[in-house]
Amino acid sequence: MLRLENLSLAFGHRQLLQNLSLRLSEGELCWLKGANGSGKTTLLNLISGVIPEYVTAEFEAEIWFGELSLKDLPIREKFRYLWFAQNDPETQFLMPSCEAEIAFALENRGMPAEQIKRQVDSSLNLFGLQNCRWQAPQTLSRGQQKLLLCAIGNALDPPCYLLDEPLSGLSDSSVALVLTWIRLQKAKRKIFLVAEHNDALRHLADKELQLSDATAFVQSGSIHQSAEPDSVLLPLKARGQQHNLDKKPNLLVSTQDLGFAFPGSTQLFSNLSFTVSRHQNILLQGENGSGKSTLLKLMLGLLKPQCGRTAFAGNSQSGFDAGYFRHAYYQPQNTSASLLGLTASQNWLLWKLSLVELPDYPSCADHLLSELSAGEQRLVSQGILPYIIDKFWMLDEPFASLDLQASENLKELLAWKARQRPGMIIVAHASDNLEGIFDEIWTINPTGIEINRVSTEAEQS
Amino acid sequence: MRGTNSFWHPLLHVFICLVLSCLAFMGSEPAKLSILWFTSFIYAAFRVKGGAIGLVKTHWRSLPLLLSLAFVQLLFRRQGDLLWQFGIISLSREGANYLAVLSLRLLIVILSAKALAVLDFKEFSTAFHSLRLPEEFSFMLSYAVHLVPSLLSSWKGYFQSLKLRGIAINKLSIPNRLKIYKVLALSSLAALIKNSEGQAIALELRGFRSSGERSSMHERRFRFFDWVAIFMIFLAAALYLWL
Repeated sequence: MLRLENLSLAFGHRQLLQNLSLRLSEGELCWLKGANGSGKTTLLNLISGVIPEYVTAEFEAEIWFGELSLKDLPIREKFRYLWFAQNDPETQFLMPSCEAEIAFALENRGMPAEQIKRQVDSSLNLFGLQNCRWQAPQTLSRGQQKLLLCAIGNALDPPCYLLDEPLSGLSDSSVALVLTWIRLQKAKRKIFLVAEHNDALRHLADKELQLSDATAFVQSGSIHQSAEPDSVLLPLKARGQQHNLDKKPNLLVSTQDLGFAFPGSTQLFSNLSFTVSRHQNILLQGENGSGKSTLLKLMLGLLKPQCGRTAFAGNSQSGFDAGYFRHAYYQPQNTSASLLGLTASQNWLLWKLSLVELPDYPSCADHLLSELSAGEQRLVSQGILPYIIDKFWMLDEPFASLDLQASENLKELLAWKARQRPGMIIVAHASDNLEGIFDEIWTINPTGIEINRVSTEAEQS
Repeated sequence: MRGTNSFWHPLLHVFICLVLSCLAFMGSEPAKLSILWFTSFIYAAFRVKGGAIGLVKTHWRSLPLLLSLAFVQLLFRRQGDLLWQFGIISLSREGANYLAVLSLRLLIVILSAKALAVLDFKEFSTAFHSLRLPEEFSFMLSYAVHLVPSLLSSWKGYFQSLKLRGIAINKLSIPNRLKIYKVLALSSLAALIKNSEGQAIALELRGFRSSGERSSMHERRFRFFDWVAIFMIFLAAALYLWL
């Protein structure tokens, strides 16, 4: 049994958790819910020992696993009792291959080589990663990285799992895979504490712990709401800053016989030819690792194709150019890659260098980006979107880590743009419920891209 | 065994890099150093991604540093025969000699470091495990060796993020450029600390430094060929010093 008793935690003057108690018996799953910044990750950090060994905070807590006090156990010994899959997979991989990454924890346990091999094989197969065995984890897609974290946990086979947003950024079939694995582990009487926004976890949850939203650092969607699209566009129009879309070439991206493969991996695309017009609203879907992010990068010239040609805004491409921002804005999947500076206001200040008409930083309080949760960081990075509504948006997994309110706000913004200032390609999964926004749904599958046109209400009538 | 990309034991590669960089500072004759540089180049070309072409590019990028060294020699070193003079600028034999020695030493160290950086944490761990050195040592060395490449890659990422915002840094005014450099320098330092902390957490969550005996999925022992190679390297190093 996992017992948390009288748990209180504060970062300076900011009280995040107060008098929290929780008991989880064998085979139970507790679903941690709450808005971005409500303290879900902090709670998992505290149980795993990241707080206070690596992060300083004032706290009082009794954390018991059976008769063992986890509070007194150093992190390096806790792996015998629990596995903590952190939210950001980026910094968690250090080994040259997925095989080595899974084997590392088992080697530290002193497991015999033959048994390690069996565990690694079964974990890779379970999560459909058998073809990535020798691939460097850093080169996997974000969804595959999330699956790899689950595979490590499966191989380690501890009695308790702490999972921070394990379903975020996963395709529907991968979500089903992870849920099936959790169900199997629960049947083996494993304890789960899962922080997650995805509603799919509901059926597996034995307990729900709703963390207070009142303490959220960046209130959900405040940046979006503070800048209603019309109120943003009006001052831009008055200053003559708004771009006249009609004067720009209609064709934004065209590719011809595009072929691409990562070094040492199987061919991702071959003979791919398509065009994207400036006013199209496209939803890009596909399995984890199918190449959605890669495709966006190829369109922009951030990756070089092995064969074929790409043209952006009518110009043949030889790499990414800062001038492309006049036409399109690309936001990568990794939030930290779209944030610059130490604080949210520094990030905004650097935006003002390219968008001089931007108002001052819209939030009254400034925050260190490193202190924000994953969802809050995404909110900060998306705060610029209403101010560049005329550009063609290329957003990679914009809903990942967002709470329900922030997701709804973003959907509203996308719907508004699709009607009033069309032009976007969004990488998202079907589970994000984005009906009625897009003109076309592009699905990447092993044979290429399948394009389905979505008929509008007018066309249907 | 797949996963590690070399036939030889990782410790042998660490040893080769160590010997090459030590010899670079033990010799002071340009001819001998040229031989050592050539050896380092061939060795590194087999090890690094991009091979010889990649190394030529590295040399090209090092050119400004070498030229600034040459300039200092031109201005300040006056001993030995005068080879060339123009006004106050002169080039002496000793100056030229010293320039060649310094440049070759620098290039050998760069080549050795590049070859060493090919090794990942797992290989460092295997290498030092065979010497019964603690795992912390492998992690620290692996981290130190990859520090400069990871810093360079984070700067590359920052400039790409700026470009995504439509900011071409070379088209900005000097004050704006300075503003950006200041912000990015602090950010990269903070990111460096955060990443190292993140990596340490990730390792400890999987039992790094935990009590008890470790095992290995692919045990790599020092084989006969590795011992022969070590012996040959010792022999070559002795010959180099003796000549």
